[in-house]
Amino acid sequence: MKLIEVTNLTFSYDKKVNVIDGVSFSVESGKYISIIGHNGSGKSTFAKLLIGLLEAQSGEIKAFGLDMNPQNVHEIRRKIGIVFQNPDNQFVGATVRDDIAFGLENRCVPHEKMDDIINEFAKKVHMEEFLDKEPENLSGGQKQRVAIAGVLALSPEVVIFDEATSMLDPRGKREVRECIKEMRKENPNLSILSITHDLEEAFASDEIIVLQEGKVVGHDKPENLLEKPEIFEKTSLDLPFKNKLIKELKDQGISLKNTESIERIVEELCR
Amino acid sequence: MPIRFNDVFYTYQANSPFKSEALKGVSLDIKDGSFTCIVGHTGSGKSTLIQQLNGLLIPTSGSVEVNGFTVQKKHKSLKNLHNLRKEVGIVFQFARYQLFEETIEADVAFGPMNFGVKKEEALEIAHKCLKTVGIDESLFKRSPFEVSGGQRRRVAIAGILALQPKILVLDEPTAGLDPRGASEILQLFKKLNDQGTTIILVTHDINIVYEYANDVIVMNEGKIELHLAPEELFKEDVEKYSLETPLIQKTVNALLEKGMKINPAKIKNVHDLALEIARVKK
Amino acid sequence: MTAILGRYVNHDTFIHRMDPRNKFFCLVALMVAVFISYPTYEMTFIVGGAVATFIVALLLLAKVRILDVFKSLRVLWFFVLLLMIINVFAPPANAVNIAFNIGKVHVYWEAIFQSLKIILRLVLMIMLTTLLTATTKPLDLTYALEWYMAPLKVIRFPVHEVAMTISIALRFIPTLLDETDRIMKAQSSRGVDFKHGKISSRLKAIVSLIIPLFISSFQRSEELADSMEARGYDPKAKRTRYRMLKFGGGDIVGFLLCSVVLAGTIVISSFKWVYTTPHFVPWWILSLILVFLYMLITALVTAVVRRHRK
Repeated sequence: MKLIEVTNLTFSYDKKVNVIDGVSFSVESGKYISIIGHNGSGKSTFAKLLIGLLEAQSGEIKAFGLDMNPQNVHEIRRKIGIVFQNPDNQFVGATVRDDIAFGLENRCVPHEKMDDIINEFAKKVHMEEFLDKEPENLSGGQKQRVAIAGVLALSPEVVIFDEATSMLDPRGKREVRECIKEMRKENPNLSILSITHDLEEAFASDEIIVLQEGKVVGHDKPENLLEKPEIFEKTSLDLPFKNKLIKELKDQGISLKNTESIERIVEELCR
Repeated sequence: MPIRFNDVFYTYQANSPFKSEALKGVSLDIKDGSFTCIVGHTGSGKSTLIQQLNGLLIPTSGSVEVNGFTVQKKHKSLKNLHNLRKEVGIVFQFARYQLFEETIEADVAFGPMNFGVKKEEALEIAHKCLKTVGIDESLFKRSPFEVSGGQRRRVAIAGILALQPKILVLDEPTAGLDPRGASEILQLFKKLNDQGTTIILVTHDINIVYEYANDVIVMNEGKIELHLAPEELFKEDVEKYSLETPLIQKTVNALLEKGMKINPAKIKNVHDLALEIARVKK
Repeated sequence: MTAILGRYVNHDTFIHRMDPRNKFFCLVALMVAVFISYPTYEMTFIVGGAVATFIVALLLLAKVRILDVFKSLRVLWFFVLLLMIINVFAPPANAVNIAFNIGKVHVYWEAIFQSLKIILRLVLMIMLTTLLTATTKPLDLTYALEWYMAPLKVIRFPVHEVAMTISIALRFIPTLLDETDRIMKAQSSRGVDFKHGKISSRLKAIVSLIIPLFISSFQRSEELADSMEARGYDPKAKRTRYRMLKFGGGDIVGFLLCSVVLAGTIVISSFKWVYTTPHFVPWWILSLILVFLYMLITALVTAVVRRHRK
């Protein structure tokens, strides 16, 4: 079932250069889609368009059967959750509790139900011990997990991660990636849209959409995209380590049969 | 003259119940002209360490000798701390937030002017440094807030280069950059290093160590755990120090374990690794 | 941070647990009580002293360090000195009793008494506000303020928006302090000297701090607004509340006590009740007895309440 359908979307900030240029694709229930592109390829603008924070000049977005326009945007936002890049600039509440509650307050969840929901979702992101902590005492990874809890507490059908790990240290990145894995396991119908320039992250998803200068230059399963390394070279993104190694070995005249994992490659090389 | 840390201890908020010991007895030498990477988990003391280099922080006990200056409590050198900041340029992680002048060239010229350089000369230096970091002439008179985040980052680096420091310290210069942007910035530092500037680069990413550094320091919980050449880092268990082992390290070790006679000293990146494997196989 | 107006200190006392709206009321009630006047000096000392005793007892109950209160007074010592000099050289019209002479100038008892009265009131004011800020989290103060401002909704005053703005500002104070520190370090590394130098260069130094701070704050508020909007925030729409203030049993006690104090002082003042000292007892013995009595009462009351708490 198509939850979100984007058709021929075009957007420009200054009416001169198109940051998003004729992009079309759809998000289906339960799919984990990554949108990759180098800095400046239009990725973050895309997230804001999907959630109605920006209005496209042409093309259309259809979400949950509704057209994206000022009348429907509030209804659409009820079903899409978004986690932004800066852990501090989305933390509204004075404590973890208050921040998760913020979303609940906006949706008029009854006061009596709030504590249970807050406890439940704080547990899901392993932040239940930090419920009364203030943001200045939390790490970037912890703050992002609180943001995730706040988003999940509203039971969205689609969750967008807008470069949610760019500003985190390796540990924080790991924590957020683990969260996403657990999210998918618990709720197989949840669709995830991850906007990133980290290829290791992107290759964990079901589909990758490659953006360059606002256009879609590739949209396929990760394995299939790897058969066309020119796409990656054009966007000057780096291949994941394993794939880079395979390519470099090929350049040296060494072809590998089994490229499932690094361990298999090492085995094959040492035979 | 090498940079020397003599048993440096640093405690934040030493007189309050919130005190925290960030450096616990650090002693080390950094050679002139080296490209040294300092790696460590968040909170290992890396940032605290580098701030001792230009006197932003003074050791709670112990001393740091840099270019003839001694950074130590109550030392007479402290009167000239201002001049030390010309010799040791530190570019912090979110340096793009330090821009404030009306034009990009004025912002880069700001640094030298603080050290008595006249405006015309400062602007000349600014232009040179901006070109070095890859900022086009057409942007010189623009406002720093009109350009992209990546460009602002370069302007901030130019602002420190304009001081013509002998030692350049960088705190996570590639954080948040895409691979192309990261590689461009690191190539710039390599070039400066080739021209004689000592580079000290703080990072989480051990891949940078293998690719660019000729010296690596591993910190953990306020102490120096390892100080060695990159090729010697391959066989170390960095996860002991709460660091992630890069895939290239895992692969090299796996191959060495299975008896392939590749030479770690020749491996800086995946390309080199493939070359080494090919060499051995022939 | 300085001890002026006392930062929140986390203890679990009776007063900490009181509803912040009630504490506001009590603060105002007691402040008015402090400023009530009485016809004679004796009455001022007796009743004023009783009110002061009550306030000091509250401070002790709230585990506020009296030393911190006096630290914030240190800042005002200049003002106090000025006050005394003015009163000495411009005594009240009915001054009659001369205490001593400085050269040709008469220093009247009335003048001394007047200055003491003003100083005492100042001290009590500071004690009361410290009591409020030391026992109430800034966010709770905001909620209380929001509740008191609620009637203004009738004239379309944006009560909720103001309260939300204040609470977000409070949440970001530590973040902004960190950012200021970071920018200062970055600029210091470029040769900016924040502490020495001529006025013009120090001005430039401050500009190099303020502009980046402003710019990043603007960007921060934009990102925050985007995030809040995406999470469905609409100040004009109906929304439920997570944190709800509730009056407790302790609030009734506090409310009653403060009301009694206020009412009592007003009554005593309006009826112009007077206590005349017996002629055979000099005034200074009486004052000493009074002070001793009040300190005893304070100590007893606090001891009893503390024992009862355990």
